[in-house]
Amino acid sequence: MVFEQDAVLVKGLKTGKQHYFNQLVFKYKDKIYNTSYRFLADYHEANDITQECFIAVYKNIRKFREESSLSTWIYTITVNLCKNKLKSAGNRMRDRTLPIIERALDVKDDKGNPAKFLEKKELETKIQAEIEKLSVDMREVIILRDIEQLSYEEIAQILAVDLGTVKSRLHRARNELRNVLKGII
Amino acid sequence: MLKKECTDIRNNFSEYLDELLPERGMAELETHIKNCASCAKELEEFNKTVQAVRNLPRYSPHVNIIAKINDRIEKNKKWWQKLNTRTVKGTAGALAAILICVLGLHLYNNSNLSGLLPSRKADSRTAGTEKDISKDKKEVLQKSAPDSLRVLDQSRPQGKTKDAEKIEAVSRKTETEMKKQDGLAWQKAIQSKEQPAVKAKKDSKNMAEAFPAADKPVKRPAPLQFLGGIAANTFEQKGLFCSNSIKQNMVIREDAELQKLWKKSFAGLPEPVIDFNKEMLIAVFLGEQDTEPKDVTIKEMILEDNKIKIKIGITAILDTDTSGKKLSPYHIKAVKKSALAIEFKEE
Repeated sequence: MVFEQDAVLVKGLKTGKQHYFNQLVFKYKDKIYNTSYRFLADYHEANDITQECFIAVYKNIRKFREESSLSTWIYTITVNLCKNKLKSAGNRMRDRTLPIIERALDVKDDKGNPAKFLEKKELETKIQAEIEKLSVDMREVIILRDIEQLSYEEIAQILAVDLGTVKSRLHRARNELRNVLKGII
Repeated sequence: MLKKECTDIRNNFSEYLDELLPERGMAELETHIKNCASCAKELEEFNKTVQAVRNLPRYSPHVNIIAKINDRIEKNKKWWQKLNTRTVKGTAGALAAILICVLGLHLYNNSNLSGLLPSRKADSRTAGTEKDISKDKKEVLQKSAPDSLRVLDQSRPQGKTKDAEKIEAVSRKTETEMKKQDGLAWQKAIQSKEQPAVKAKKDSKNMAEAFPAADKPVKRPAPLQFLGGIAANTFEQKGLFCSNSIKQNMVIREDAELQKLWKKSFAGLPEPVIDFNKEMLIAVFLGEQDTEPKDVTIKEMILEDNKIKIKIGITAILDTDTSGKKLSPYHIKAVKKSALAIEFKEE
């Protein structure tokens, strides 16, 4: 699917035209959902965060001064929503739900190789579990850099920290993961 | 225990993998890796971890997420946000147009613009049939009222006088009675008012038919308004000074006559616009007043035996400082044109 440039989308959104908003959702829904899921490791919550993020974009688009890119702004909203969710008391006691895709894959094999699929699934679960154990500061940089593959500059802008902080946090996060995943990978 | 060099090199693994180290740093690290098996192994494991995280599967939200988002946005909207922009613009435009019209009418009514448009007056006097019938109906009722209450002070331009209010009260009463007595006769009376004023004789006959209960309706004098009505804002001029020093009662039916009179009596003043096809002027001049000055007023106009009687009121003027100037009171009034004879009567 070919999407409009962010600048065109912003202009269209500010005029209140619905089809620009729909296009924005289609363009960013996977990125937001994936970031939220890796942050919270819960399908329902990731779904909620995705919806809330787009609602926030819709409500605040007129306040968006375009000092940063649309993508950066949307990631900032997502990260903040995820952090707020983590802070909420209910989050600690929640029953986690697996994503629909994941549940669907549970009953299917991996191209006719269930053993390989299970192995991959197990590795993913372990990595995800270790990501969750990281502090929020380290978790957010590793998700934004290694999962969403954003640049250091973008991460610095999203988290409102300097480049050096991003570099050091990322190194520590990777190092910690390497230590805990030693022998598994 | 790791060497300091190895520790420094390992601290740069992250940036090295992201290719963010400066060239010199990259070269140093690569040289060290070649010579340090421990660091080389560590870098390999570090890289495996990073690649494993990068290769985690990506998930997508449910396909109906856009519908859910739009649904939530719609639910959270305030009532004014739900309004269609085009509808709002259209309604605002219509309201603005109505407001402009109302303001325009208000300004028009409050200013003397109507006075600047004499032709409009004529139009208003020849308004629709329905309006005329309504007016005529009122006139018929006035005619049927007792003599004592039938006095119409023509000098009052508009508004309800006490007399007029009394007439209205009697009219309402009479109307009820008339309807009870003879509905058909009432209709005839109304229809007869739609005929021209010159058919006054026929009208009188109709009136007699219309009001059989009234006492000798033919002999009863009728007010001039019976002829078709005089609009409250038709031309009227009254004053104490004019250049006509002769006592004179006049009926002006032509423009030439008006010009002559105006030249004689009001030289220098703008001549009024009178539509002599529909109107005529009644002019009363009292002449030059020496001692005990008096004023003149056209008090009443009554239709009586196929002629119009104009009652002129003459009243003494007390304590008027004329600064030595001699008074020549006059009263001029436009009435609906009539071919009937006019008789002036001083009171």
